[in-house]
Order: sequence, then structure tokens, then C-alpha cells
Amino acid sequence: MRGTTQIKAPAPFPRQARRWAHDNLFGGVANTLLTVVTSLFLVFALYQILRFVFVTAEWEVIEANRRLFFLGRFPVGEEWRIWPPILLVSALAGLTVGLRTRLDLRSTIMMVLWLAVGLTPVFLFFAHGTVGILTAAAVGLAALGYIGARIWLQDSRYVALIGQLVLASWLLTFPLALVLLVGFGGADTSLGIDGVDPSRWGGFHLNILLAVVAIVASFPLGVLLALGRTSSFPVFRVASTIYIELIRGVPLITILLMAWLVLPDFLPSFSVPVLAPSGLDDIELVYRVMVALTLFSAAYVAEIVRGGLQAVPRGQIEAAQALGMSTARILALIVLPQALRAVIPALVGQFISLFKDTSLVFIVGLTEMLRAGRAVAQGQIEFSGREMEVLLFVGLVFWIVAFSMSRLSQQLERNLGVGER
Amino acid sequence: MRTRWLLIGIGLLAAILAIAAVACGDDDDDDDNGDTPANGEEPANGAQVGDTLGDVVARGELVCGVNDAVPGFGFLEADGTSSGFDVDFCRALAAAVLGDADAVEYVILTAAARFEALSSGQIDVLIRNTTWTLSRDADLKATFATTTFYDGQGMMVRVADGISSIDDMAGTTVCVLQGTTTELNLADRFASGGLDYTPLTFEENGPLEAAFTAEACDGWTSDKSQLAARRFAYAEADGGPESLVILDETFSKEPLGPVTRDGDTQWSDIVNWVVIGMITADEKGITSQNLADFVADPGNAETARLLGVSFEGGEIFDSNLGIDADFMQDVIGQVGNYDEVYTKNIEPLGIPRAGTLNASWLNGGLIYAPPTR
Amino acid sequence: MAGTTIGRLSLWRNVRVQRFVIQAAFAGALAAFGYYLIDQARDLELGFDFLEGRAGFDISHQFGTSYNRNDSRLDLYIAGIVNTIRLAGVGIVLATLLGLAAGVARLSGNWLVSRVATVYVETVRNTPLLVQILFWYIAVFLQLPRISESINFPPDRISFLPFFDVPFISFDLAFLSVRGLALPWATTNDGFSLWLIFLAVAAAASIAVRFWRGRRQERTGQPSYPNWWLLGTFAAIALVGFAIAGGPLDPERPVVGERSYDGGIRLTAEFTALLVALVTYTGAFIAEIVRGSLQAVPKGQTEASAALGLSPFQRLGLVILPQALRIMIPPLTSQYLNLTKNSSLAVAIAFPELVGVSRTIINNTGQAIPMFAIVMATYLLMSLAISLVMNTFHWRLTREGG
Repeated sequence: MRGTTQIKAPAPFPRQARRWAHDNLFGGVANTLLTVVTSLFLVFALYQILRFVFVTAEWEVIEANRRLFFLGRFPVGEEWRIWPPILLVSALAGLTVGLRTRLDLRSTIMMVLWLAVGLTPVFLFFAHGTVGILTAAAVGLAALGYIGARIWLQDSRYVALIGQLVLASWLLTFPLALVLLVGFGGADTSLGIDGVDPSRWGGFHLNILLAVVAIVASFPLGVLLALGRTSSFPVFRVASTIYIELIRGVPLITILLMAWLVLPDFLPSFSVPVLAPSGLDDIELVYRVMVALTLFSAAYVAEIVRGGLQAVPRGQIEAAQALGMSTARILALIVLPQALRAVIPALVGQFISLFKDTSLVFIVGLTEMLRAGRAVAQGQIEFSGREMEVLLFVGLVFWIVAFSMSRLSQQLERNLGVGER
Repeated sequence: MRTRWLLIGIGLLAAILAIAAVACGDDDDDDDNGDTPANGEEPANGAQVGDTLGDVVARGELVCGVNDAVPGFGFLEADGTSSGFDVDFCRALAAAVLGDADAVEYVILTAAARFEALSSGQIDVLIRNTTWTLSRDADLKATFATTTFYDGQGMMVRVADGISSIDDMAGTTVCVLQGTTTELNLADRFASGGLDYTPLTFEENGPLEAAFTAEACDGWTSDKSQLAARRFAYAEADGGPESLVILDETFSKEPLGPVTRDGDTQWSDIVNWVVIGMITADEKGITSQNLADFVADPGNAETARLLGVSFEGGEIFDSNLGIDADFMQDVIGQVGNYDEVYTKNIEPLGIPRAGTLNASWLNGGLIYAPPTR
Repeated sequence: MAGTTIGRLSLWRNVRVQRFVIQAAFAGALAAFGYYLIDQARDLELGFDFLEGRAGFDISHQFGTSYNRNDSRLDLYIAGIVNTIRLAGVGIVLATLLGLAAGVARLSGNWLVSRVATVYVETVRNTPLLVQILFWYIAVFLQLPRISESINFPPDRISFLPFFDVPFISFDLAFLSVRGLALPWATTNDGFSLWLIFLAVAAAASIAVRFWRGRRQERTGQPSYPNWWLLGTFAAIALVGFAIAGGPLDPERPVVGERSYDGGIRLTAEFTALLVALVTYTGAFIAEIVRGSLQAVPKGQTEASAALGLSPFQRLGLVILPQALRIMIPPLTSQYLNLTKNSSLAVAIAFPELVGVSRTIINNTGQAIPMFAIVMATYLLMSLAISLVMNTFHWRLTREGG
């Protein structure tokens, strides 16, 4: 099935090209036919897409509402809360890639090209003024981090220290982002700062926030459920299995609708500082949605991790037991590292799914990116009927993030040597 | 044997402790100002009878349930703020109660969620194109304030199809939004004419409009104001407004107005009289522009009562509504009277006020204010 | 039971005791939690009486149900379930086929084909499904011509640019427009029940024949073509029955009416767009599963079957796929479940499946909690059914493989 491309000797270019074309496109009648049909289809699809993008479409709707797409109903003048985490993440991403991966020249060029292609439209259409400067700063920090890491990497004395610092900073990013959003210390005290009302969070910012919270929270829960399902304790096994199968058996939108309409009736009324000052049954919808997404995702994570647990050879556990290790230590040091490493691709796939699924929170009335765009195409009379432009733009933004995630995970797999023993 | 009993005992004890812990959590904490549901007869669906005015003042913000995708009535601006006819009534209410029209938190609600949000106390007032009906008033425990906009369900069709009344529409496909009274009215109207039809039921207007434009359906039914707005904005490339016609027949009455919870009469009265005050100001010609003149010299006793100022040295009229006597000054000064709100929001949709049900009663319409006395 | 110090110490150090205590405590906590939930739910005055009430509105798509607005909400809900099952059932079959094709295409030696398959998979997997559903409907299916300009098949004329334009068949079998795809269909007449009996006989006889030929093949080693015999027997008896019953089916061609198609069977643009969106979305995930499973089959198998002189098609169909199938089925099952659950997004483009009709019922009655309970139970049952079928299939496959 696989085409055999073996170039024996460097042939002159035209002959080489002809041979390549013969091997890969026109070998045999069926193959030629397949090539022709595919080309025709490709030309047709490309023509239609390009014609829409450059002729029919009116992109004004995106440009005029770019703030709405990315921030939703976030209060004007509070944008400063968003930037520190973005800048920090950029710098850390640069550092991490520089420290962890051994990019060869080709991958580096590809990455720079990919960034350039992705960022040019950002600067052309979206990042004017302050946003432009801050976006440029983020890109600059990422580049600086990458180059800095490559230089420090030469000096192996600091590698371990920097690695730990970076890891610690990654762990701090998320609390920092949350604290900036929800405030701290109470606005009344002199040190405290006020937060932004969670019902005003929106746009792509909300998609990212929901996805990150649900990913971070569902991972440990999922691991626990997986351990429960493979446990030798029947009660744990039955409870985990029932939970996982119940959640996996129903659509996410029904879980979201339950969290929205039904959950408050089941919550007790005591108040929780910061998150639910006026009683848990009055807790903000955004938090309820975060809980729903976490509970939903945990069931899927559990099934993936269970697959990994089953792949760990029994002998490993027996050997550890023979060494007199406690069950907890066996789990933490022997079983989980191997199990999790084996399922990284599947986990990343699940997290990408979760990220895409954040577009469904419109069903409970949250203004995430897709909803914000669709509200514009329906509510702003001058953009009435511009739904297609909105869909393509939102699809593109989701695609860029999701595709980058999947590529990064492949890089991670390669570095961790998944599948190589 | 003793071991086993001991273990069972421990298990039971754990269960009892857990139940006790959960049960105690129920009546734990009562010191936050009235936001916890009262231990009333119906904790879930029942109205939270409470002091909405007190809550709003304590919070310093009015929580108003609105729409985010209805042109002219409630939609999102590019900077993320809400705008529209309904939204301006939220602003007016905030101006009246808090003295600041911007002290509003808007909660975006879907059609399905609005009454749930109201009855569970998530919002103070619902101003979201909501039709006043018997079952909503009685069964859903809602109180409807003075109607701000008289609408009615109609049908929009293409001129080229030669349809002149609903009765010509046997065998057609009709596009309709899901989950509203519109869907039920449509079924009733076609049933009464003995007409056979296919409804295409969409969740949102975006794909609905695309389907209508592509001629996947012959008719588009909705509130007439919405149809007029969509017709007005119909792209020239698709034929422009002239290619569409809204049939004369109105097959349902849709009085739209603010909604509050049953049981809090003071709050319902405030909502009601803010709307009435705006209509009265329109009748008297008091606008945000000339407000200062009227405050300086009301000219007659009723205007003085409306604006909460003294007339000919008399005492200032206080209605005991629970808010400042001069609340209408804030409303008119910051938001405007009924006509100003209408002109600002609805006329850009191509629906002038004159000659419609929403004209003042002085001009043959239905907008009529009870006396301020 | 000696009350010695050692005995008492060992009570807490005894693994069995520890296990029991931990589990009992956990079970107790769960029970308390369950009790709390039930206790709270009791306050909500749940009831299912509203399902008896008159639904009051119509729906656009029905398949085998005859709901109308005067029927009860329960009838409406059943019509919604049937719509979901129909969508999911057809979708699962088509997504499997597409996924197989795309998975094989990604490994194809044809550079262009493998690239196109890669782009397809990477695009579809990385964008939200709702965006794709709306895209297919608005950008593709709503671009079809209006009904009065329906595309007909077979075409009346065949033309290619200015070079030729010749009359073709003026007999129309099918139409395609924004109102959907109209196909010929058949209605039944009086003889149908008689023919049904013949069909039952044909089914029984053909299975018996297949069994006989299969045994013969096993016994003699001669190729006995059991599946061809099965088809042949069935067709022969069915045809004879058809003649005896006097033609129990009346073929019916669709006709373009003023605002809809008359006669025939119609696939609406909404249903088709939804189907295409679900199939392409799920197909991309299945393609990745197929690719992974094909790659997991040792390369020696391909080489060995090539050495035996099997054609590439035979190699794939007879050697590689059957082995890959065993690895494929568990992840495939979850994709089938996903497709079924994802069909709940159908309401976005006017297809009344069960979540769509439930939301309208909730709007009209305010009975959110009982309705959601029913919806979730329905999905759970469907998921269970799919899992059951797939697990049985998997079990049979692994058993046959020995």
C-alpha cells in the first residue's frame, strides 16, 4: 500500500520530479484516476472557498466587533487583568520550548514560518494601538525566552535550576490569572483589589478559561476515577464505574443544562468566600459550568488513564511489592508515570475535544466566542445575515489553537519517547 | 464475631455523621442580606418573596435580564455593552432606584431560561421581549408591568410568491423560532384555517434568516417588529426590502413589557411607575433636553408631581413608592421619555412610531399613562 | 477472639479490616449524598403528568411516526427519539465507511490523496462541531437552487461548455434543491402482506442454504460460495413471491410541485446537512482509529499476503482489515456513542430530535427537571444498546480469531 520512494542517486531535477510524480501520483490506471478526481475536487473546493473569502464575504463584521469576539462582555477599562498571564505564558512557552525540545534547523524554520503566517493577520486586523504593542511584547517575550533558554542550555550548571523555576512559574500562572480576574482580599480593605463579575467574562477569553480550568481540575479527578475503577475494592470499583458510564452515556449539553437549571436546587445555602459570597445555591453560572465541564471531562480522562493503567505490566507492581514499597508509593512512583506517559496522545486529544466543547456553553447563555459572534450577526442590524463570516473566523481561531495543541503534544511525545521502549 | 459488629457499627456511624453534616449545612448561615431563599413553601419553583428594592440598593446595582440578539430591543454592542429598547428600560429603572442609569448588570437570558432566572432570584427584573399571557402571569408566578411595546405575530413572505394572506399558504414551509409562543400561535393559526404546512423550527435567527433567504421556506413568522427590522435590513443582493412583504394579518397579540416576581408589590409598583412616568413625560413633552426648564417651572401640578418638585410653593408630592420623590428627573435626564427611547432604538429599524399601536393615545395609539396623582 | 494486646493491635493493622472500614465509610458517605439528593428532589414536586398534555405545535421531520399537534407531549417525544435514532443509525454506517476510506487514504501511496485526507482530518478534528454543522447547512446545502430550478436526474440534456449540448433522457427520477433531495419510492398495495410472507420464507430458506453451503465448503474444501447462494436463494424466492402477489409495490416518482415535492421520498436539506456534518466529523476520528489500527498490523502480514499473490484490494480486505478490526472496535464504539450524543446539536438547523423537542416542551411547561431526567435516561439506554451490540461483535471477533 505504501508507495516506495527510494531515490538511488541524485538525478537531474526534471527527471527526479518526473520519477516522484510517477511514484506518487500516476503509477497505474487506478492511481492516475484517483489523482485526477482528487485534483478536480480540490480545484472546485478551493475555488469556492477563495471566492467566498475574497469576493463574497464582508469581513467588516469581524473587525468592528473584534473586542466582542475575544473578550465578550468584559468591562471596558479592565483589560489590564488579561495581559500579565498572557505575557507570562508567552515567556514561559518560549523558555520551555527552548529548554525541553531539541529543535533542528528545519523545525525552527517551520515554527517561525507558522508563527509569521499566524501573526501577520493578527497585527493587520486585530492588534491596533495598545493591543498591538502588548501582542508584540508577548511575541518578543516568547522569542527572548526561547533564545535565552538555548543560550543557558549551553551552561549546564543552571539547567536544572531554571527548569524548576519554569515549572514553578507554570504552576503559578493559573492562580495569578484567576486572582487578577476574581480579585483578592476584598475590595474594602486597603490592599485588596476588586474582581470582575464572572458573568461579564466572555469571548475567546472565556473559552480558554473554561478549558484550562476543566483540564486542570478533571485530570486529577479522572486519575482518581481510573484508580477507583481498577481498584480491588468493590465499592470503589462499582461507584467509579457507575459514575463514568453515566457521564459518558449522556450528551454534554444535557449536563450543562442540568448545571444551569437544576444544580442550584441541590446546593446547600451556606456561603463560600470569593466564589459564592451570597450562598452556594446562588453561585455564579460560570463556576457551575466549570464544575459541569470538569465532571464531564473527568469521566473521559478516567477511561483513557484506565487504558494506560492496564498497559503497565503486572510484573512491575509485583517487583515493587517485593521491594516492600507501600501501595501509595507503587502508584505514585511506578504505575502512574508509566500509565500516564503511554496515554499522552489520547489525553491531549481529549483536552482538545474539551476545548472545542467550550463552544457549547452558549446553551446556558454564556457569551463565549461563537455565541458572541452569532449574537452580533443577529442582533446588530447592520451585520444582519453575516453568520458565515463569523463561523469561518471562529472556526479558524479554534483551529489554530487546537492544531497547535496537537502539534505540541506530538513534540512532547517525541521528547518523552512514547512508543519507544 | 465482635469484630464484624464493630465494623458494621463504624460504617453506620460514618453514614449517620455524613448525613448529619449535610443536614446541618442546610440551615447554616443566615446573615447575608436576604439572598438566601426563604424557607418558604416552595423552595425550588416558588417565588422568592423578598425585598427586591432593598437588595438592589444594598448591591448598588440592578440585575436586569435581557436579550443579546434582537435588533433594536436587546443586543450586544461592539464594546460588549448591551443596547436597545428593552435595555433602556433597565437603565431607566436603575436611574430611578439608584440615581445612575449605568448601575445595571445585564444577564443574558435565553427564551427558555428567563422565567427560571426570574423566579429563582437571579435577576431583579426581566425586560426581554416577554409577552404578557395568562399562564405566565398565573402559573409562572410573574407580574407584568405596563406594556412598553405592543407587538403582534405576523408572517413575512416573498412578493414573487404571490401570497396575499395566510389562507393562501396551504402546503408551504414556514420558518419559526423554537421554544416561544410564536411556535404555538403558528400551529393554532394554520389549524384554524384547516391548512397543511411544514414548520422549520430553528434555535436562532442566524440560520433561520439564511434558510429564508435561500428559499428553503416560504414564510417567516415572528413578531411584526422583528419582521419589519429584518425586512428593512434585507440585503439588496437578495432582492432588498421591496422583494418581501409582511402580510396584514396579525394572528396573535404580543404585549411586551417588564416582568417581576409575584409577591413583591413594592418592587412591581416601582417598575410599573417608571414606565408610566416615561409615558407621562412623553405626553407632557418633557424630554432629556428640556427637563431643566420643567424642573425650574413645572407649569402645572401633575408635572410637578411627576418630577417631584414643588409647585407654586406647595409641598412636594410623595407617593410613598419607596424611592426618592424626584426619581423621574433621573430617569428623564439620563435615559429620556418614552418617545426618545422609541425614536433612538426602534426608528432605525425602519418602524416609525406614528400610526402604529405604539403611538401615544393622543395620536390614536395605545400608549396611555394612568394619572400621576 | 482473644482480647490480647496483639489481637487488638492487629485489628487495625489487619488489611481486611482496613479495606472494610474504608469501603464502609465511602459507601456511607455515598449513601448520605444520595439521600441528600433524593431529599432535595422530593421538595421539587416532580411529576410526569405534563407528558399527557396536548403538545400544541408541529414538527418538520417524522419518520414512521404520525404525530400531530393534537397528540400528547409523549407522542412528540417519541417522534423525537425516532428522529434521533434514524439520524444516528444512518450516521454510524456512513461515518464508518467514510472513516475507513479516509484512514486508508491517509496511508495511500498516492501523495495527493494522502495529503487531502490529512488536511480533511486535521481541519475537521480541530474545529467545533457546531461551527461545522452550521457551515454545512448555510454554506453548502442552502446554496442549492430553489425548488422551481431543481436539478433533475437523469439530466434532460448533456452539455459541456460550448462544445456540445445534446438532449438526454427526459424521464426524471430524482430532484435536488434547497428543499431537499426527492427520490423515487414505492407505495404498498393489497398484495403486500402476502409478499411479506414470501420474504420471511425467503429469509429462512436462504439462511438454511448458506448453512448448508458453508458446511459443504468446510467438509470438502471446495469453494462453495455460501454468500452468493444466500443472495441467490433469497432473490429467487422474493421474486417469485413478488409475481404471485401481483406486484405488491407501486413505484412512485417524485414530481416538482409549486412549493414542495409530491410523491416519492424526500431527504430534506436540514437532515442531509446534519448527517453530512456528523458523518464527516465522526469520520475524521474514525479515520485516525483506522490508521492507527492498520499500522498496528505487522508489516510481515502484508508482505506475506503479497507473496501469496493477493491483489492490494484482497490484501486489505481479507488479511489486514480483519486483524485491524479487533483493535479498532473499542475506540470505534466510543465514536459511535459520540455521534449519537452529538446529534443533540441538531436543533441548530431545524431538525427536531429528542433534545430539540424536549427543550420546547420545557419552554411550554416549565418542567425542566423531569424532562431532563427522561432525556438523560433515553441517551443512557441508547448508549447501552450501542455498547452491547459492539461488545457482542467484538467478543465474537476475538473468539473467532481464537
